[in-house]
Amino acid sequence: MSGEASLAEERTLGEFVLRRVHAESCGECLPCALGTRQIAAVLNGTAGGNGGAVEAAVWRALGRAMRQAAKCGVGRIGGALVEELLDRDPDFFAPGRKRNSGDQGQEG
Amino acid sequence: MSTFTMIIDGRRVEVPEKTTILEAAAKIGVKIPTLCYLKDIGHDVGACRICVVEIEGEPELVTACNTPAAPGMVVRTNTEAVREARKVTLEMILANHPEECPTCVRNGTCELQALAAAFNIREVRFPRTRPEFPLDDSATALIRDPNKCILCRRCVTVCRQVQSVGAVEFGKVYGEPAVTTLLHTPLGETNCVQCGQCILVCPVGAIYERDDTDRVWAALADPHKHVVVQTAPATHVALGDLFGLAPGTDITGRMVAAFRRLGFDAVFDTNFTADLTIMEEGSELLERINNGGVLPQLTSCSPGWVKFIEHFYPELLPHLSSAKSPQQMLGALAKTFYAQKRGLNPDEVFVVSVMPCTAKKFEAARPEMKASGRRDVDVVLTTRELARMLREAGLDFANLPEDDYDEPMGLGTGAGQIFGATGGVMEAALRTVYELVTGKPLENLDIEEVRGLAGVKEAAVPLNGLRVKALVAHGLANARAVMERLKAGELKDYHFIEIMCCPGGCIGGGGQPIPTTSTIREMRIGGIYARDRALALRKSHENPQVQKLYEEFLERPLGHKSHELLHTTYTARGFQPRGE
Ligand code: SF4
Ligand code: SF4
Ligand code: SF4
Ligand code: SF4
Ligand code: FES
Repeated sequence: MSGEASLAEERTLGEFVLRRVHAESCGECLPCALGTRQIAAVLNGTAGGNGGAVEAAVWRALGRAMRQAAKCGVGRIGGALVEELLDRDPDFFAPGRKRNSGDQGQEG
Repeated sequence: MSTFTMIIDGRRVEVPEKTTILEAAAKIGVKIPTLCYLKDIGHDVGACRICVVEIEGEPELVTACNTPAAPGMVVRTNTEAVREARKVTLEMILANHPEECPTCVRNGTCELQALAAAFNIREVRFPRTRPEFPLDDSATALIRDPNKCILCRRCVTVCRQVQSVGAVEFGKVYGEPAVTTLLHTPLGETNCVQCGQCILVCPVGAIYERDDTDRVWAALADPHKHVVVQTAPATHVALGDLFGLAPGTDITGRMVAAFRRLGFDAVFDTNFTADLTIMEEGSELLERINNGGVLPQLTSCSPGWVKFIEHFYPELLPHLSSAKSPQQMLGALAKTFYAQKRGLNPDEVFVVSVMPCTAKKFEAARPEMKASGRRDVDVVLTTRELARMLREAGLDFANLPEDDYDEPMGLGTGAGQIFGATGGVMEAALRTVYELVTGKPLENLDIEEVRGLAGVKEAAVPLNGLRVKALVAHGLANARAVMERLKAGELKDYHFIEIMCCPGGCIGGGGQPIPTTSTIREMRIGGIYARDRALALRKSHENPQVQKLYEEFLERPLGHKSHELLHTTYTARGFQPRGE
């Protein structure tokens, strides 16, 4: 397996898990409810305004806020994953990137 | 109580057990920001995470509002991580929040706006991620704007825990968390009693009263309208809050002067019809006692409470006094008695009420409230709406001279005044019923047992061999507990029960100035009893204008005209929303 292929797989897996985290978010606390919604919006290309052109540093802050301030493990894991994915690929959340189909792991 | 020491931002602080980090920090003057937390209603669900702080040795941040302080705990409230987490959350809220501050009803009293200012937010780094939702303006008195909702869930707690109604709830809309109504039914079709307690606790402009000020301006500008206004007891000690006066300040005379400057044709006091209510409701009570009627009698002057019993305890409606609320009595009399006296066409008389209450908007719109042949009360303004009119008119309210109400419905006694506080209707009734039955003057007019913020209060007054037993409850969860006891047959030997929908009574009504906290409620209650003590007349039956009204027009309490104009019927509404 080449390094290239594993990066693509990592990305696929990362997106899959992030979508799951969004679907699992119960909505009881705002860092997770709103953070996962930001993530879902960029993955699905549905963010309004500037289309989700959020700088990597801001995504990192979002990840850190979710990891440190969310109420339960769902948001904390989600936040940790955002940070981890950015470590591996600083452009992970760049808008306009080709994404996997949005319905993976999404609730109806 | 045992205490312990901890460290906050490098300073030692000694606190008693069961102190939260938030309270401990406040002790040394460190104000940790909060958004969802609301101590008054015991709401500490930890939703917003704005109050996060660092605790040494903990990998994650913790919420100060609901985390107990512990001995030796080392807390930091202002670190890079803390500031960043707060700011990210706040920016994500703002990203999905309409930028409508200049036109928002909560501009200036909004907690989100204040936080954005405090955090020095100058730019929102996130895009909008949620669709726009339609306003819910199905209810007579209030409007919900889901677009402004920040998901703090205070309204859910107040509606469920304090009011035991549960008309709003936390759920999902289009798969995203949202505060919505029972079964997503339009609010006006649910069992919402329109008390407006949710408005008082909402930190933002997501729930607010329907603003009717334009209809009043239009009536004032109409030369064919004779515009009269009435002022509820609880407004006398609350309106001043909105003009920089201390809560509880008696602004009665200034309020009257303000109405004259706005151009009202007559200024009446709902305290007058509060006295009249005592005559009617007290007579009804005596009739029930003497003729084996349904007892205990329940008070009926609080429309939020009336709607509650109609929804939740329709089988107990025979207990409810048939007397209308003072607002509706005044409306009916303005278009009959007063119109006749002044030779006015009742169709030209336009009645405006200024109430501490959103539910009064619903009450005035009830189809049966047309005793004069047309709507008896045309527009109900909350205390907040009146303040908006006064500001719009450029009145320097706090410095207005004092003025007097108009005859023939402008005089209220202290008994009418205390209607504004929990226990007040009961106290006023007992003052009158005692004297009417025994023929002796009541020695101590202050019936302390029924005063104050305890949820359920009791008193007993000896009346010619009969011990009249009375219960008082305020806040609908307390009312529900009393109704359960009544249903279970535990209150058979009670005669009279006063229920007010809102915590503290009308001084804490859903139309009152924001903020309305427990402390402010107490200050307004203080103002109510101070005004009662200061008035020369303190018993409803001694009100000369009420006596004259009976002589000239009504003849006697519970007489034919009274029945026509001052009494009403109720609707069993059942529990479930129609689900449309
Ligand atoms: S709710 Fe607050 S922040 Fe939102 S528009 Fe109104 S005043 Fe502004
Ligand atoms: S007005 Fe009262 S009953 Fe209606 S939703 Fe608000 S708190 Fe609940
Ligand atoms: S409507 Fe207001 S009180 Fe209710 S959750 Fe939304 S912001 Fe909070
Ligand atoms: S207690 Fe007073 S303010 Fe509250 S619903 Fe009843 S009448 Fe209105
Ligand atoms: S104020 Fe503590 S979590 Fe909202």
